[in-house]
Formats: sequence, structure tokens, C-alpha cells
Amino acid sequence: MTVTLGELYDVVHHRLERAASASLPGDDPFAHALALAQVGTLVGHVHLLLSRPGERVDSAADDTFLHLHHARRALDGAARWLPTVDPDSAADRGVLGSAVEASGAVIDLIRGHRDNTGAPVTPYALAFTTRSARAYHLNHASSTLQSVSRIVHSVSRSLGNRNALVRLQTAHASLQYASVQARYTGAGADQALASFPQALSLTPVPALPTDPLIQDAGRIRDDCERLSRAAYETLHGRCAQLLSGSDLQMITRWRSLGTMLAGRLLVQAAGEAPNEEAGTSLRNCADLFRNSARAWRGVQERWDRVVDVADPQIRPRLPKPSHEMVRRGQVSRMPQGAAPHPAVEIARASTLRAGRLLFGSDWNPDSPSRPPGTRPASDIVADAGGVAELAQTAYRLTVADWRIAVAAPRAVTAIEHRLLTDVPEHCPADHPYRFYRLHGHQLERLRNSFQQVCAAQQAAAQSLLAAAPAIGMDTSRAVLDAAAHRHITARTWPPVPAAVAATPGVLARGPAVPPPVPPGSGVRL
Amino acid sequence: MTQPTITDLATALDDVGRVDVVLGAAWDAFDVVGQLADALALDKSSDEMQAMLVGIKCADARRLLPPPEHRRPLELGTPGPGSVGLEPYGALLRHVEAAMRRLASVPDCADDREQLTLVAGHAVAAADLLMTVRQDGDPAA
Repeated sequence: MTVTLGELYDVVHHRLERAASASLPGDDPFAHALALAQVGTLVGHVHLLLSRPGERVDSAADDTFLHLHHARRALDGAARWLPTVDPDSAADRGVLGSAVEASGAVIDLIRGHRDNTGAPVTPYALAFTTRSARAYHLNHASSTLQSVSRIVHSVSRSLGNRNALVRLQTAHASLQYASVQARYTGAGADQALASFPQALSLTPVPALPTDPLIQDAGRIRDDCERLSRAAYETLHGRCAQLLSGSDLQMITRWRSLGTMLAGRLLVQAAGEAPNEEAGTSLRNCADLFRNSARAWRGVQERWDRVVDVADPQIRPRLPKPSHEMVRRGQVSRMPQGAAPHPAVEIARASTLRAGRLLFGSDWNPDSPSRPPGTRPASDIVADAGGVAELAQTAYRLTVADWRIAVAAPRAVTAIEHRLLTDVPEHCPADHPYRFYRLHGHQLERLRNSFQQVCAAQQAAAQSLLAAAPAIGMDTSRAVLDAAAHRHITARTWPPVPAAVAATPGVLARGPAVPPPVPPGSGVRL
Repeated sequence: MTQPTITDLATALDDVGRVDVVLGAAWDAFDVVGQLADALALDKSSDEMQAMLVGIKCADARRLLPPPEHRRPLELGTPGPGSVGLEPYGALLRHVEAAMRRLASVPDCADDREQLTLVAGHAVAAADLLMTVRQDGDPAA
């Protein structure tokens, strides 16, 4: 459902190609001025994309910048001999205008991964700090500048003004130099960046029975982007609302069920796999999804006897304070609990969508009857966009879940003063109430409980990537994720080689991940 | 949980004079049925998904209620076989629903009417779901 950087760049190049092939009217100085203003904006965008997303200045790109600078000066000089065009009102006119619009969308897509202060809100915000990532932009900049230089050339040929003509010739030459230089320095580009996603807001999109099933898989992926963002913001203490104890419990429960349903979806996909090997791999993946669901359940067991005092509880009415207490200012209101964190609704929606894909759009988890049964595997796979796309969706769920599990201990630390438990064995002597504050070791166990989810999700993700060549699953997003995760965890997530699709089995030899502890074996708090 | 403890909770749910006692009993009822649901999810003769959904409903409802101040946490016993064995727990949840609806109509609880109604809804939904976890004559059972 969301657009990727590669798709947006394709739109830019397609529109620019159309604009460069169109002929300009020979005697319309306004059309010429407009085209040059739009070219100026596009060159500005290229400049911004090459300089802003990565914080470090790359000396190899210096020559490109120098030529871009010359080109912009020459374009400005030419514009002085033509009618004035308001750049804002004219920016999106015509075919070239639509290219400007798409190029602006590229910038917005990248900027969306940071907040107003420039701080990252997703793990992908740091994707453009490497040389190969910058090379990706340089490659696209080269194509853009090539098309733009052709447009400048055609404007210069149809102009009657010699002063402008000279400057446009300079601009044309500079743009061509810049294009060639960008192509040269853009060698070794990281093509996985084509799958760089759109950063979505944390506003949940509810799963409705009227949603077309064909859109379910896409929407699950969107839910994953939102959950990832919530996890990243939690990890870095940048969330507008803290995850409460019950938020964590509800997310754990919904994702446990969601992981189980995703495993069942993979079993269905295995039946529709293109060959026996792919089917076996997918069944193996489904088993690991069951393990992950159990790992979530292990976390859930740890939380069973934990209560967050800041939950939006119904509070029995207390006697009214006396006049004396009010006068002395001794009256304070009981804390009012906040509404659940949006991540709870997002986790629920992702699970509902997986359930509807499996059982049909009329499945309602509140219904007082069991679902009628799984839909035919061919229908499920067709609605999910094919076996490879279904596996891709399942992969995205493992990534989102891993990120939640990595961020959750931080969330626990942020609210540890609000957590109470009623496990009798550890209740302090002479404590007058049933519930008491968690001891240090109990908090530590809560935090550590998420480790089993991390391990199980990694194992599930790896099994899907190992099956990728057999089922034809695109792994470019996995390459991007692996780089992002290594930023998050200081290199505990194994790297995914870019050529994974061409080298079957390369991931099967990855580091062994211990299976999660079966539920029931954990020590209660 | 044995019959007397269900009876204890049922008695507390009917305590007209003490709102905190009723709410605490409701908390314990959701807690014990939640534990039961988690145990059933691991039981081969149950529908795992339906059991997990009961657990979710109970956790969602428990979140809205104040935890009880006293009374020790109830230990979950072994429920009887088949769906009949789960009926006492279903009945307990329906009792919670009735208690919440009664409280919602009390002027003292006017501020919390919306949440009480929500809890009552969760109780009845959890009771209905619980009855689908085991189906007599089910080949899986």
C-alpha cells in the first residue's frame, strides 16, 4: 500500500523522459521561462538530495556539486532575460511540473523519517549515511540531470534571445558534466534502497469487515511500518505517549495470536508453493512462527500478575474532602489513566487482518461462535498477492515484532515506578495490601522476557529469507532492514547479503538461534 | 478454582453497599478466567485461537478495573471435562456483567458509566467466547 523510494524515482524518470521528448513552442517566452523555472527547482531538489539526507559531506561528490552550482548560476542568469515566473504558483504545471511534483515527493519520503527537529523516528532515517547509499541517490541524480540537460538544450534552441542562449549553453554543459560525474561517483550503489519505505504516522487504520481482502496483506505491511515506528520512538524515548503496562500486555497478546495466524497462513501458502522444496521450506517457516507465538506467550505469562497503576481504571468514589483540607491545598485529584497507546490498536488491527485473510472478511473475533473454517488455500494466496508476497508480508511481521521486543525493556524501565504485582511469595512482610511494587529482580525478569521473542522472530525471519530463492521472494527490504537493525542493536542482527536471491541457501548457514523457552517453564514473577 | 471460591466472588459481586468490593471481585473474576483461558490455549482438546481470544477479552476488561486491595489471588483449579466444565466460569462472567450493569445505574458511579458498560460488554463477550473453546463431540476434543 505504501510507496517506496524506488517507485517514486521511477515516476520521476518516467515523467522527465516524457517532458524531455515533448517539443516546446518556438515563440512563447512564458513557456520557456516556466520550463527553466521548473528545471531550476529540479536541480535544487537534486542538490538537496545529494547533500541533506546523509549528514557527512562526501568529497567524491564535490565535483557534481561544483557543476550543479555553475548550472544553477547560469540558469538564474538566463531567467533574467525572460519573463518573470512565480516559482510557487507555476511549479506543478505541465508534464515537467508533474516531474517536479514527483521529485518533491522523493524529498518528502526521506524527510518523513525524521521529526521536526531532525531526530530520526524510524530506523531507516540513518540509511543514507553510507557511501553506497549516497551512490544510490547519485545514480538517480545522474538520470535526472541528463533529462534536465536535454530540456535546457531544447529551450536554448527555440529561444530568440542571444543573451539567454549563451547562459543556457553554459547550463547545458554544466548539467551534462554533473550528470556524468554523478554516474561515475554513483558506482557501487546499494540497490536495496529502492525498497526504502514511506514513514507512516502512528494513527491506527482499523480493520473493517468491509475492507477488500485483496488489500489485507498490504495493510498488514502498513501496520508493521506503524508498529516499527512506535517501537523505534519507544527505544529512543521520543514517543508522545509512553507504553503503559497494560499496553504492553495487550500488544503481547495480540501479537501472540497474530503470529500464530501468520503461521497458519504460511501453512496454506506451503500447499500452493511452486515446488516441493518451496513447500517444505514454508512449512518449516510456519513451525518457527508457532515458536514465535509461544515466545510471545512466555512474555505474557510474566505479565499475568502485573498491574500498572496508571491504567484508566474505574475508581470508586471517595468521600468529599473537608473544607479544611481544601483550604490548606491538601486535595489532589486521583491520576486519570490515558487511553491505550495507538500501538495496541495497530497490533489488534494487524491480527484481525491476518484472521480475515485466513477465515474470510466476515470473521469477527467477538463472535460467539467459532469461525467456520479456513478458506481455500488458493483464495488466501491469491488475495495475499501470491506465495512470495504472502511470505514477504509474514517476513514484515517478524521484523515489526522483533523491533517491539527490542524496545519493550526500555518501555518497562520508563514505567517501572508504576508497576505493581500480587505474587504472594515476594510480598514484603507486614505489607498491608495485596499489591506491592515490583522488586528489582522481578523487573529484570520482565525486561528479559522479551529476549526470547527477539530470538524466535530472528529465527522465523531467517527461515523465510532462506526460503526466498525457492519461492521468488524479493529480499531487498531485508537487506535494508538488516542494515537498520545493526544500527539498533550494535550488530546482533545478522547481515543479509544483497545477492541473497541469486545464491540459494546462503542464509540457511546463518548463526543458529536457540529455540524459545516453551511456555509454562518460566518462573512466575 | 473450586466452587467455594467462585461462590466467594459471586457473593462479593452482589455486595450492594461496597462499590470497591464489587469492582475488586470483577477484577478477580477476569483474572481467574484469563488464567483459565491461558491454560486452555495449551490444551490439545481446546480451540487454541478461541482460548487466546478469551484471554484477550479478560485482559482488556481487567485493565479497566481497580485491582482488589485485599483478598489473596485465586488459584486456578482443574476445570471439569468438556464445555460443561467451563460453564461455572461462563456463569461467573455473566454475573460480572449483571453487577457492572447494576453499578452503571447507580448515581454514585455516574462518572464511570461508560467504562462500566464497556466492562459489562467484555464480560458477556468473554463468556460467549469461553463456551466456544471446547465443543462436545468435536473430533479434536
